[in-house]
Amino acid sequence: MPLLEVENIVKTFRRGGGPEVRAVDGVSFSIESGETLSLIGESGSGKSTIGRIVLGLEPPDEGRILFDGQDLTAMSPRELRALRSSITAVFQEPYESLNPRMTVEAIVGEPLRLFRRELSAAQRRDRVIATLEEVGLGERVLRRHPGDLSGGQQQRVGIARALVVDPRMIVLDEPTSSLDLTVRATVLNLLRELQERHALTYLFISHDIATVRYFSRSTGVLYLGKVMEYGPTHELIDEPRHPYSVGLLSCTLSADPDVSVPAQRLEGDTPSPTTRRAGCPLVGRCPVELASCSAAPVPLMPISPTRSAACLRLAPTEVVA
Amino acid sequence: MTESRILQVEALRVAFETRQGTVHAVNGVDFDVRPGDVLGIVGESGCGKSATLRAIAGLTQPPGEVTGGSVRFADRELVGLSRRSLRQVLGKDIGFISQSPFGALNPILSIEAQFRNVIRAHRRATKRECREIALRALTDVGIAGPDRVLGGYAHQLSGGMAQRVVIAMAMVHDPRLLLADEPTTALDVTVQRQILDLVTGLIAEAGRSMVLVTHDLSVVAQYCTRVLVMYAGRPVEEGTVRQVFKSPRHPYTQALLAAVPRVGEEIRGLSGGLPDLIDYPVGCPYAERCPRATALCAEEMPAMASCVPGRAAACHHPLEEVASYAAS
Amino acid sequence: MSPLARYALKRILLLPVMLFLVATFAFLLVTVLPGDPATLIAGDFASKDALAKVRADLGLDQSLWHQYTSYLGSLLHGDLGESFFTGSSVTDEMARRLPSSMVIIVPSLLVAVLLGTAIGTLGGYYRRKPVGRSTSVLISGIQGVPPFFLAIVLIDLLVFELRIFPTPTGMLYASTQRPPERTGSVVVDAFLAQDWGVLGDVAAHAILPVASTGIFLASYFAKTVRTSVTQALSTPQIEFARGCGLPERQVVRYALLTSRTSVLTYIAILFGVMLGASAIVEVVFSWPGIGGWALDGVLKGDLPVIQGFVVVTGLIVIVAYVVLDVLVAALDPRISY
Repeated sequence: MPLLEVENIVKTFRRGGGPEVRAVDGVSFSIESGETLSLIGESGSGKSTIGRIVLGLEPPDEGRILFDGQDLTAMSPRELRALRSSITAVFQEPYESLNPRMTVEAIVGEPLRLFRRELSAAQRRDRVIATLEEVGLGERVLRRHPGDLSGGQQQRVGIARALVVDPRMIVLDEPTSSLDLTVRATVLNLLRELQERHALTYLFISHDIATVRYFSRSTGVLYLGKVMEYGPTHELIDEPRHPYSVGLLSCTLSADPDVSVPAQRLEGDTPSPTTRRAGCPLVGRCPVELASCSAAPVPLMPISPTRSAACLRLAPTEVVA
Repeated sequence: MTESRILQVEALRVAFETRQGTVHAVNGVDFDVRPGDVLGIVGESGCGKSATLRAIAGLTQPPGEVTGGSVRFADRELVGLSRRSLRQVLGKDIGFISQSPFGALNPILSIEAQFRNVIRAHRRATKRECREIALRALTDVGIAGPDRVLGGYAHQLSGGMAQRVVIAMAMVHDPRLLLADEPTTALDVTVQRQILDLVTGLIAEAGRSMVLVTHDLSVVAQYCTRVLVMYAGRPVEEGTVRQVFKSPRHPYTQALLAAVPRVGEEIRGLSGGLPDLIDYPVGCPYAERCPRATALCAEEMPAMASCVPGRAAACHHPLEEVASYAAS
Repeated sequence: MSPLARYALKRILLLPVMLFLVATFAFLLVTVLPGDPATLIAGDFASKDALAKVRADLGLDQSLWHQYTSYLGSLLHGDLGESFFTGSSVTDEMARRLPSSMVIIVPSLLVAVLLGTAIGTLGGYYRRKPVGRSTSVLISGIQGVPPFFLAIVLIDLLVFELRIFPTPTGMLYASTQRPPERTGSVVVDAFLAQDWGVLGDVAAHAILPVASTGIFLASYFAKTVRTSVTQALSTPQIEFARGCGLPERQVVRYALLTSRTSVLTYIAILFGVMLGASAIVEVVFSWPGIGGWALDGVLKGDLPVIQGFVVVTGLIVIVAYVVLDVLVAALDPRISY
């Protein structure tokens, strides 16, 4: 049984009387325990909103979220609170997500104070030190403030804070995007080690395809709040099938000067998410568009035993007919 | 010899006065740009790449200051020029684009008014002439419906459109050299690709040159002809993109390349951090993190040693060159 | 209707609600103030009967709710009550004095904005040069001197020593022929009668109070402008403008454009402050404005005067804020209504 199952969640925002934005528009996926699922997409794809919904920071308008078989959307606030320590998060900007006035000890110890009240102060401190050592920082940073640390160290503090309560799952929302290349590599490797050691389940949210390929087993490609394509990461990235995935991946530049970039790409910018569309969100930018694409929503359909895509071009023939 | 170089930077130094002391952000940078070159300056945060670019354009903001060296553009010294004289060159012979397109545009003036100011900074033109020039410039950067864009304001544009407008403004006087600081970092990947294709296309078209500052090795790999790798305010390696990427000679370049996620390969990061930029080390600034470092490295700063013109590394113990890439 | 007009209308329709809140605040303010008005009027040694009579005259024997509704009722008719001590109508008194105060406040703000923007821009642009440093010395110097002190120094120097300006004894010379009275306000009456001589006399008397207030306010504007210009000059926008080779005057203009909203907001705030704070300068120059009059009312405990002053100045400030909001919205393309 998967650890996390997300079924058809929808989230709509309306900012100050403006038009409605369907940030998440019927997204479903599941993650097996101990695995990593990546959600990849450009800005406005809804990937971060999905992360916030899974974390319980936003309630979905529709849909269900099953964690270990329990429906989070049907839980009382008290039950949800108890689950808070099972799903934790690491965010993009380490500095912004850490209170600059708190010491590292207070930051990492805070989740323990909230969720492990039975611990004494000394036990808590031991636990904080052990966790800091695990993320490669150790006791010497205890009294430091986030501002005294480098970007990589700050993100390690963020990881320690997520790890200290022994979660089963961590939502990683662009955890390495603001880090330098050589620091990013050490943080990614750390996250992989921790996953193996603690059998952690990761929901990895990113816009960086190279990182996703390095990091995760399966991947969902998001565009304007919908899953365009889903499958094993290496298959999907090496041989994308959905026109959006193809376009997105063709824009991913190789760091090898001998590997040239394919010519095909998407035209234009991502349209405003406020525009309502009846059919496929890619209509207008798609190079292989059909007339029927704009008529009705295109569901995610299996295109091989391991993969699925939301594209009429790829659908089994009976669906198109 | 000098004719073939459009830009010559020599021993450039930039320092920032802070309460803790003088931060040596750029510590002696040398490089040349020839017509047609797209030179990538690559490095991690704190390596001085942006400060170098700003120093070239005379855009160093206080408390920063160019403390030494020379920047010759078409045989004219730019360091020490008054803002008034510098202004004759900027925007006309040298174009400048920065990271955030929305930051670069004035939020209160219409795009047309901003274009007019940019055009009139270097030539006399009536309102109507300005409009025509602007329309042509916008069409050249691939904007369909330039009329609508001209009448509008920055906040009405998407990120990609705004960066196109910025490029159109920076290129409106047909500069010979374009300086670009992370021009696509703030943009989505699909848009990044379009913008880079556009800019490098415009450069190649007319034999112009470009200096592109970026932290993204793949941008350098795909769009630059030459590359300068910087670390702690100093250049550590220089060469053609294939030379440097396929056969790095400096251990830092090697570490940088090893941190790029690749299929079927483990990535390696670097532990430790930058040296103190206030109390700058006497020896190689990379020595503390370098697996090849010896006692010599801590004592003596390695100079950029070149065996072939345009190919150099600042290392006492450089990596062996892979023969097949030496000349490419 | 244009979106801007609709936005303006929405703000204007909110005015009565805000005025109601101000009126209620003024009423509550006075009821919670210590002291018994009846004792104030009749004197400490008045008999119980006399006090009761005064209370009944003032309506203080009624329930608080009754007092409140009748207060609101008369307010609707423009009646702000009568002064406890002079018996004159507060409405008339305000109508007579408000224009005189405006003769000081509006030009002072104008002087302050122009002078402050100039000094602030210089200070921000040359902040690392001697010119910039001397502007900050100038700004803190002026801020350290209270405006009445500046006024006294100016009076001593320019009136008594150099005899350039008329003595600080009100708006007119003793010899000035007053215009025919229509509204009670000399300024307005002179306008109606197109009596330029009288207006010229008023202007001559206004120069010193305007200068002392204006210079003082200018230091605050200068500080705001300097901060926002300094900030604006370090933005990527300015870097790009310079990178395009724009002349420095354009660069400064771009920086000022970005600072515009904060300066406009500051004008409205200082306008509100000045309505209350003009009292001291008015006293120094014997200027027949509302500030000195209201101060007198506060010191004596003249409740209708205090109430009336709060309501009227509150209304003016609210209107000023609405005008400002609409102006800011009209000038900034980013604000959508």
